This record gives sequence, C-alpha cells and structure tokens, in this order.
Amino acid sequence: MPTVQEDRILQRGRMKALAVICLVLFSILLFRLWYLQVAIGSELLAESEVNRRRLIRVRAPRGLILDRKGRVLATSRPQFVVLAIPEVIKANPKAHRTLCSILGLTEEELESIMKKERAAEYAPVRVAIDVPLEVVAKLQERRPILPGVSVEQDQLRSYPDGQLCAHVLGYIGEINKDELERFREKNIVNYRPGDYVGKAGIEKQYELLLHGKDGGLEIEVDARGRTKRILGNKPPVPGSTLVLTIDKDLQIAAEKAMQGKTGAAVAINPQTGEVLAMVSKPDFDPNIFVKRVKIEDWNKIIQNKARPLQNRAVAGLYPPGSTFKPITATAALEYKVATPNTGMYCPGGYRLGRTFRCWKRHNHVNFTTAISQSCNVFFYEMGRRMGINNLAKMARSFGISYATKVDLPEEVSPGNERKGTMPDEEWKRNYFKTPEMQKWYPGETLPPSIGQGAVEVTPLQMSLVSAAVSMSGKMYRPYVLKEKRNPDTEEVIEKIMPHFERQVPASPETFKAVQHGMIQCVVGPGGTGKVINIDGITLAGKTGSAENRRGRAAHAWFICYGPGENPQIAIAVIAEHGGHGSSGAAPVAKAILDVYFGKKKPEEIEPPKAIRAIGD
Amino acid sequence: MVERRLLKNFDIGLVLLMLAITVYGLVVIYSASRGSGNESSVVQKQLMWAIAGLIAFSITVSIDHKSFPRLYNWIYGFNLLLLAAVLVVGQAHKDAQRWLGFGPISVQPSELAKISIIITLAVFLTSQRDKLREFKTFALSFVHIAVPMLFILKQPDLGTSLVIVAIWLGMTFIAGVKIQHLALFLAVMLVVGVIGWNTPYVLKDYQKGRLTSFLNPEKDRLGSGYHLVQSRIAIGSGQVTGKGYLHGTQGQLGFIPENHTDFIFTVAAEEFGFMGAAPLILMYLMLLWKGLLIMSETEDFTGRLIAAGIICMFLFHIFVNIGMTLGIMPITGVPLPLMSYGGSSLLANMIAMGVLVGVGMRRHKINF
Repeated sequence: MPTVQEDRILQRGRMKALAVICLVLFSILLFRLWYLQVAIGSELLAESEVNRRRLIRVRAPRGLILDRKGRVLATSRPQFVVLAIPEVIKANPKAHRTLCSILGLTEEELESIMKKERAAEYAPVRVAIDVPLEVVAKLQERRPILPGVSVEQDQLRSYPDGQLCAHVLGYIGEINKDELERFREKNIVNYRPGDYVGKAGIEKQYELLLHGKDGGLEIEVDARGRTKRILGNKPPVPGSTLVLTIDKDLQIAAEKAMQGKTGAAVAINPQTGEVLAMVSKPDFDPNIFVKRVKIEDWNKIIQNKARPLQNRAVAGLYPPGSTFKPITATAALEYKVATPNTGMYCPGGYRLGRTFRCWKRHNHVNFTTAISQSCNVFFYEMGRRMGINNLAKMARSFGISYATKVDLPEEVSPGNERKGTMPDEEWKRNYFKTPEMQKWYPGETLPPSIGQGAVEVTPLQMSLVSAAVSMSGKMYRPYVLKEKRNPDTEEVIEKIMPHFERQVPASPETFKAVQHGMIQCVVGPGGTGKVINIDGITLAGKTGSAENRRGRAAHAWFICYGPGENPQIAIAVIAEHGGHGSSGAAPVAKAILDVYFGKKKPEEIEPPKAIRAIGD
Repeated sequence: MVERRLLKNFDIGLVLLMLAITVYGLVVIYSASRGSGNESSVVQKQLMWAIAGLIAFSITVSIDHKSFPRLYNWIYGFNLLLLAAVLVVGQAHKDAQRWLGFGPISVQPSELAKISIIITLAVFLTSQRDKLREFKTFALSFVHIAVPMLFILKQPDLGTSLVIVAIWLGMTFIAGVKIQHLALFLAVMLVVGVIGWNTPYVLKDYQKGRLTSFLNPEKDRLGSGYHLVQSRIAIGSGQVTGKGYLHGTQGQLGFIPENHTDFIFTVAAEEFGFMGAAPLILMYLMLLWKGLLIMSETEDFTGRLIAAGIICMFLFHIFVNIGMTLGIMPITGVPLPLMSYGGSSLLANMIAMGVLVGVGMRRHKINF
C-alpha cells in the first residue's frame, strides 16, 4: 500500500508521460503533414492532376485516296467503337457477361480481344468496331452496370469498291510492336498501340502522309470517369489526300478482263512512268482488315495457296518467255550480229549439242517476222552470235534484274536494288560453287535468248520493257502517287514529277526496227498479237508463252504499247499457266486498250472466254 | 445552479477552441458535401446537432462530478440498456447495426457509451483506490469495460471498441496500476491479435485489407488502398497554401469517399493547405493541452481520472483519424472529433467537453 505521497509522485510522473505521448503523437502528425504538403507536395499535385485530367485522343481521319480523275478509292467514314478497360471488366463478371451479350461475343472471344498489348495499364482497348446504333443505345442504357466501358466516335477506313485496286491500295491494321518500335526509332511519336497503320501498298508506302496528326480533348473527370467540363480542345489534322496515277476505268477494265485468272496486268504511261492500272489476281477485299479480322477469314487468306495478298505485278517473278525477244532483237542490232534485213531459215528447231525447239516451222523468217511471228530459231541464232554477256548487258539496261523503284513496298525490301534474274557468265560463277558447275556452256545461251532458262522478271518490269521500246529507249521510273493534296482545301501541295531513269544504249534506227516487228505482230500476216488490233490506232505487241518448271501449262504473256507514233500506254499481262499469250493474256491488254482509246466503257468489258490461240 | 465562484475556473479558452473547431468543421462539411445536392441540409443538420451539443454541454458542465458515484449504477445500467437496444431494435447501415431511431433522428449509442464508460470507470477505480496495484483490481477494471465493449464489437464497431481500450489503458495508467500489469495486458493482446489474425473467419478479408493496406497502399490502388492513395494525393496536392475553398479537385470530383465524415481532414488539407491544416492540428493540441492542465490541477481523484479518460479518447480519435488520412494509420472508421459530420459524435464530444470543463471548474477541493 503506497503512501499518499508516493501515490502523488507516481501520478505526477504518469501524467507527464501522458503529456509527452501527446506531444510525440502530434509531432508525428505535423511532420507527416509537412512531408506530404511541403516536401513532396508538387509531386502529389501532379498526381491529382493526372486524376482529374483525361486526354481523349481524337483520331485524325485518314487521308483519302483518289484515282487520277479524283474518284474515291479509299475513304474514311465515321463509326462507333466500343472501348473497355480490361482490368475493370475482368474484376466484374457481371459487366463481362453483359458486354459479351450486347456485342454478341463469347466470353473467350472478349477475353482474347482484351489480352492485346497496350500502352499502359488501365488504358482502354477497342473491343468492337463499327457498332450499329442500336447496340450503342443498348450500351448506354446499361451504363450503370458496365463500369469501364465507353463508346466513342472514330473514323473507319473504307474501300467503297471492295477488292478494286486492292494490291495498289494495300490495307491497314492495328499497329504491332515491331512497327511501333520502328516508328519510335525514327522519332515518330504520333503512334500508340491500337492505332491503325498501313500494312501494304500505298497505305503502307505513304503511311506518314495519310495518318495525319491526332487531336486531343482535355476533359475534367470525376472519380467515376464522368466528364465534368472540357479543359482544352486541339482538333486533329487529317491526313493528306493522295491522288494516284491509277485510272479507275482502266483498272476496272483490267480487273474484269483478268477475272478468274491468276496473274497480273500493268498499264503505264511510257512518257512519264505513271502507273495507270495494276491488277494482281487472286485478290482480296481490304475492308476485311479494317474490322477485327476473324480467324477464319485470316486463315482463308493466309492459307490460300494462290497467295491473294501478294502483289504479283511488282513482286511476282516469272520467266518472260517470248516477250523477252524485243530485248534480244535490240541487242542483235546494237552488237551488229544482225541487220534489220537479216534473214534466216527456220526448220522448226535449232541444233546446238541438242535440238532446241521452235513452236512451229517458220521456213523463211527475217528480223521483222521473227518478232511478229515469234520465231525461236532466229533468236537462238542471235543469242549464239552475240554471246550471253552481251545479251545480259542489254537486258540489264532495259532494267531486267533491277528493281523498278516503283513506290510500292512490295517490290523489294528496303535497300534492295535487285529484282529478278538475268543470267550470264558472272552470274553463274556467283550462283554455283563447283568449277564445272560454274562453267558457261554455249547451249546455255539459247534459252535466255527467248526469255527462258534462269531469266526471271516481274510484270511491271515487262511493261517497262514495252514502254522502253515505244520510247526508243527512254525509260521513266514507274510511280503510283501523282499528287499530294490538302485534305480541307483540295489544294495541290505537291505534284510528283516524272523521273527519267535511263536511256537504253541503242540507236533510234535499232528501235525503229524492233518497233516495226512489234507492230507487225499486231497487224502483219501471221502476227501472234492480232487480237488487240484496233482500227485507226497503231498498236505494237509481243506474245509470250513461258515454259515453267512445274510442267504445267505455260504462263501466257503479252506486252504491248500504242499508239505507235506517240505512245501513251504500255501494257504487260501475265496469266499463270494461261497457255498461249495470244489467247491467255492478249485479251486482257485488248480490254484495257479498248477502254483507254474510248472504244468501250469499262462496264462493257466482259470476263474472259476461251478464244483460239495463235502461236506462243 | 453553478456557483459564481466556480465560474472563475471556467476554462473559456477550451470552449472557444471547441467552438472554433466545430465551425471549421461546418465550413469544410459544406465543401465536402457539395455536389451531393443536399449540402445545405447536411450543414443545417450538423448545425442543429452542434446547438444540441452546446445545450448538452451547459447541462453537463453544471453537474458536479462528485455526484457521479451516486449515479454509477444508473449510468452503467442505462448504457448497457442502450447498447442492448441497438442490437435488438437498432438500424443497420452498411453492414453495421449502430443506430437507434427516435422519429426523424437517429443516435449512435456507442458514441455516448464512451462517456458513460469514462465516468463509471473513474468511479470504479476511485472505489478501488487502495487496491489499485493488485492484479485483481486491474482485471476487474477490464471486466468493467469489457461488458459494454462486447456489445459494441457485436455491432460491429471495431474502431469504437479500440477507443474504449485506449481510454481504459490511459485511465488505469494515470490511476497508478502496475506497469507490469499493463505490459502483461499488451502482451496478451498481441498474442490474441496474432492468433485472431491467422484464424479463419475471425476477420473478413476486406477488414484485414483495410487494416494492412496503409503499409503498402499502392499494392491495391483501386481496392483496399484506394482511400489511402487518394487521401494522400489530396492532402499533398494542397501544398502550402491549398487549392482554395471549394476548389479541391480531389474532394470536389469525388476521389475522396466519405469526405465529409472520416476524411474531413483530407478536404480541409487539400483546400486550405499546410497553412490551414497545421493550425487545425495545433488547435487540437491546445485543446488536449488544456485538458492535460485540468487533469493535473484537479486534486480530486475521480475528476482527474475522468479528465484522463476524455483526453485519451480525444487523443486516440485525433491521432488515428488524421493519421489515417495522412496514410500512417490503418482505416478504422474513427471520426475526427468536432469536425466529422455525424450528430451523435458531435453531441458526445460536446458532452465530454462539458464534463471536462466541469471537472476543471471544480478542480479545487472546497472546504465547507
């Protein structure tokens, strides 16, 4: 039992202790308050700004793509997209189910859509695109049970003519990690995950022009993400309007005429290099890539052995067959192994070690009829006389084995200047390893002389060969982009000028003789290109039937140009395994020419039907 | 009623502090409840309770604490009755049954229970003054608080239960129980706590989350850590001068839930900054300091213990509440005295102030 005195001392001590505890606790509070507000206040202020400010990106409408006469090839139209924040949806099974049922997705589908890579946590993902109005209304109705879901207006790429011109236009798709990285490396910061970018064709080639600059809407939101007021608005800058060199009429004609075939057709303007029409078959509808591609659709395209995505006009490599003969002819005159009057007897074959066949016994042929009637024997002899190296040299000066530098990304990978093959002794030395394999045998010169053997060209290259002949050797770089226009004012910002690429080193007389042969091919007796003849217009052509390794029907080739005195159009057509050039390919060129020279309207062009073949 | 000579010991400063904090509270409540559409009715209600509280204050001030021993059984019994009534006919709100309805108003008996417990515990400890250092007395004093506390835990109201424990610890400490006994109690609490924590079904997961999230609120920013993260941002973003009255973005845009009740300090700190929030904390300190003075100057043992109980109650509330908003204390749902919106709490705190000031008035032994 403590004394009163002891008790008093004890209590004093304990009361002091309580006062000390009090002071200590309040000091902690004050210190902590000071730390938050004074020491790190500015950081937390920034966090509070992040909380309340939302930057809504307003996507720039993608630039229009027009044909040379201003007709729409690709446009953008407004649409509704549904966005969802995966973290919020995943934490809320009811919202997950509701969203699935409204959008008509299975839960697994939604799950896989939301798994995509994103810029940041809690960044919304597009879960549905081009949503009809009634679905938007349903979503709005059920807003309270759909946290983390929002509907926004966006621009949807649209190709109103479906597959028309698909390979030139290309297609767009959501940007992937590699593309994003590549843009970042180039210091292009306008791209975010979820953005659309061109994946092929013009869409890819001129992505930066078409993309435009996104705008932004800065809004103040409350804790539930509801907009309270608009803090700032920066309108988007739409992408440039691109006018192409393509003529939609010719394009339609060419596509109709190519219907059902596998192959390509290219029409260019020899005086400028403008690509007037470019078809590759089979094709695809670029619209399907705009929406989320369904796995089935994607597999249908990817697993299709005919490879519909490939632009055969610039990427497809084929032996040119007899369409190569104008090159051999030019070289023969230039290297003086023949004159325009050189004659020869064709017994239907040529012996050099073994017998190299001609497609018929021509009997007497001369320089002109050898071209117009496509005599192999004559050109075997020319090749043998000048030798492979001279032939290859001339072919290369026509652009064979070089990229045309056309503004389409499918021709070659960046930095690559070669496309296709023109064999010669050096090529063989580099191509083979053992000395006896590297040796060039005289007989090996014969197939390349008629565009066979290891020679490989693209249809675009052959259209340039045709153009070069028509222009007496002046070659222009082919191009597809004609003009860049301001999207608002339609004012031309930049006009692409023709680019003179090179002069084929041959005299005007030489070209005159070759041109004569090609004209005779259309109008001369026994000419293999008769089918394209249009009265009153001088047209020049050359057929080809390229043997190919698979042992199937030959590839049907046709090249042509016209009018002879003042060439406006040069065409190359290939139909894979289409048989003879005269029946498999020339009708396509004819269709294009008919429309070009106003003989037919594009809608009058009919899909191909069988016609009788003349020669190879 | 109140003798004139007692008035010279009436602590007018304490009353002014109390009023100042209450008015500060009304001002911030208006801001915090803005946008709800009924901000004026919220402020009006709180004002009515403040007036009621002042009336209750004047009544309790005039009661001589020396009459408490006589009222002991009545107070203790009435308290239990109210708490029992809550469990039987109480109104539930957000999973907890804490309110008794009387027509349009509802009161929270657990708020008043704290005062009842302080008074009765003081009387009990005074009656056992000779045997305070015995363990039996110490244990009995715990039983004294444990009975009403069990009722409160049943509601459930963990925060108030902890306040009662804090009051009991403070009062027995000042009364002079053995430190070893207190240490033993704390050790036992620790063991019970650890066992309870790890025994399934004692605490629900969300309760555990709330209690631990302050250690690492970023771990679950949108879940259990949300309040703490947002409160921290709000307070810090107020910086030195604040964002201005009614201009706190965090509070006004709804990032701070419960902003007019548990997180009222957050709103004040966001809008008035360090220059407005630090003085508020200092006012609370002065209030407690005046209480401490009353406690030490009161020669009467019961009066001293009552003062100690009230100080501990306030100290616990203030530190746990503001500490929570600052992110250094777990979320326990303890309101900030005199500031937080809530009639029962305001009423009870003003009654407590009345008792405290009353004790201060009668600090000197009066010899007849």
